[in-house]
Amino acid sequence: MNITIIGSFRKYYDDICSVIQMFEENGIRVLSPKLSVIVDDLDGFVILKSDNRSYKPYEIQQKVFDNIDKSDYVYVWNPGGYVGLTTAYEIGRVTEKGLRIFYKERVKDLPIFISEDNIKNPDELIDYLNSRHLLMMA
Amino acid sequence: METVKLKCIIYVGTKTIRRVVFREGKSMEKLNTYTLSEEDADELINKNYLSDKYINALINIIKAWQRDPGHFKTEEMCIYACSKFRTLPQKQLFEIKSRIYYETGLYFFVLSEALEKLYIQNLLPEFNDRNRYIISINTCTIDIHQLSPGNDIQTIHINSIGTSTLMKKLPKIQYEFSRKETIEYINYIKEEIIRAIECSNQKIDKSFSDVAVYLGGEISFLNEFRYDLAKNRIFRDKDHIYQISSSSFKYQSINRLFRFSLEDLEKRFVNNRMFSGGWAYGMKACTLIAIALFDCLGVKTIIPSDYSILNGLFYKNFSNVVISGSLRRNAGVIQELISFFRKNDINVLSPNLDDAPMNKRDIMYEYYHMNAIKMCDTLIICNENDDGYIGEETLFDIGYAIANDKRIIAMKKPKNELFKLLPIEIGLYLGR
Repeated sequence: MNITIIGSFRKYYDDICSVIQMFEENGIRVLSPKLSVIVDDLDGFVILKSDNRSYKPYEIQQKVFDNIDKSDYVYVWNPGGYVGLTTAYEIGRVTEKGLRIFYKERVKDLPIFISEDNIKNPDELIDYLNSRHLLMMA
Repeated sequence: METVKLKCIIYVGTKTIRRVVFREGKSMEKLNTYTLSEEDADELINKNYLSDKYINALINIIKAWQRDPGHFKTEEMCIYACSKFRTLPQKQLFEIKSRIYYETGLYFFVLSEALEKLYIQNLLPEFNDRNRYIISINTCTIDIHQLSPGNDIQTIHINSIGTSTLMKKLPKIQYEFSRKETIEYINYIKEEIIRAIECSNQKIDKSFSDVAVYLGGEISFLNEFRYDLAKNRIFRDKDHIYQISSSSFKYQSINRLFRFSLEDLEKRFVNNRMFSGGWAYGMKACTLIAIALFDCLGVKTIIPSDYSILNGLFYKNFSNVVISGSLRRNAGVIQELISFFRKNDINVLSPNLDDAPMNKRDIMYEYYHMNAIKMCDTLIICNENDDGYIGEETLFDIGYAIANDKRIIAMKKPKNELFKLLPIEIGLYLGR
């Protein structure tokens, strides 16, 4: 089971790293982002040490979308409902794909419909995805 | 309302890259043409993946034109690519758009079917009272547009025949050929055209019209070879003063053009800006295809035209638009844009300010707005205030529009570095 986490890395990258570890420990593979450290910030678009140095920023961003394409789910890490500019753009692009998007909290800055079922903290999401996975295996 | 008064368009075709300028109230002005190498052109025509070499060549040409003396500002420029680019894999196409945007600041827009139709519909506003064909013969395709009064349009695309493909199938046509051989070639091309149309489940109705406007430098070509042309008696337009019967076109082509070998033609036009490069190469193939096609369609009268599809942009740059932007910060400009569009017969699919509150977007509004984005031909980002500020809601719309492969035009260049990563056109040109 593959997942991509999006959200404001500039504000919450440390928290996101903890979520990555939780997911990985519970059998959920996180395709993006990688556990790393922030080395640059282009007005909210964050470059990580693990990003390929030879890549231009737009190629790094394309890599995120490539990983989303390979993911079964997307998880939006948005404490307090906050999504930044990059995340708002990413949600817009992902919405069209029909991929299921889970949110940590209800989004404050975007008037989009989010079902109550799609709002889950990491523990709840792990339980939900693992039980769903077991059901599918049965 | 901040709009740009001119737009310089770099048009990337399969064989040539042209630079033209539109200025409010003036006809399209041609600036320069670059002919791609055979190898590069072949790559776009025959492969479904473009190499770094091709993309680098393209970027170098664009950059050279950006550096030209008297160059245009970024918001006055954009790149349009021909429909052939639509056959590239979506992922590569987006990578190309992102890379060109990152390196040049210019938006690489692949002409969508909707806008292609719009520009064809608007090409000849003086000639819309009867059924007519508008024909374009390209390097590897033929486009047959059937227009009815009221401008309903049906298009037949033939993807297996074009000037370049014919040269490969019939290499003998590069030499001079006789009347008898001409008839054989024409019959062969007619069979190919009919087969291609049947294979694509499309149909020709021979009774649809007997008049065709033949696009693509045809007046210049016919004048260069001193064809006898009659006065256009079908409609009045200063750029379309001639007509020629299809039988005369065929007869004169046999006696004039087909007597030249390709080598003769290339020598003749080596210093001719209009006909050098790819033009001379494709002349005979193009004319043979035209004769065969007019015969297939039952066309009796040809209106030669120096226009290309881009001329239609002069009258209208878009037809169904959605406007996104902070309703709170830009309400006045959005209102002004909507009024302008309504006056100029451009549909604003969203926002509908008669129903929506001016200062707030809710879930129902956003749902309606997203559906409208799916249906529009252009998303216009109204960010005139606050140094081009674009907020989360609008960025969501941009992401959604990119995922739906829509053209996006922002009124102002956003200052945030993030926008170097989002390929959008900067500078709103409204057309005439």
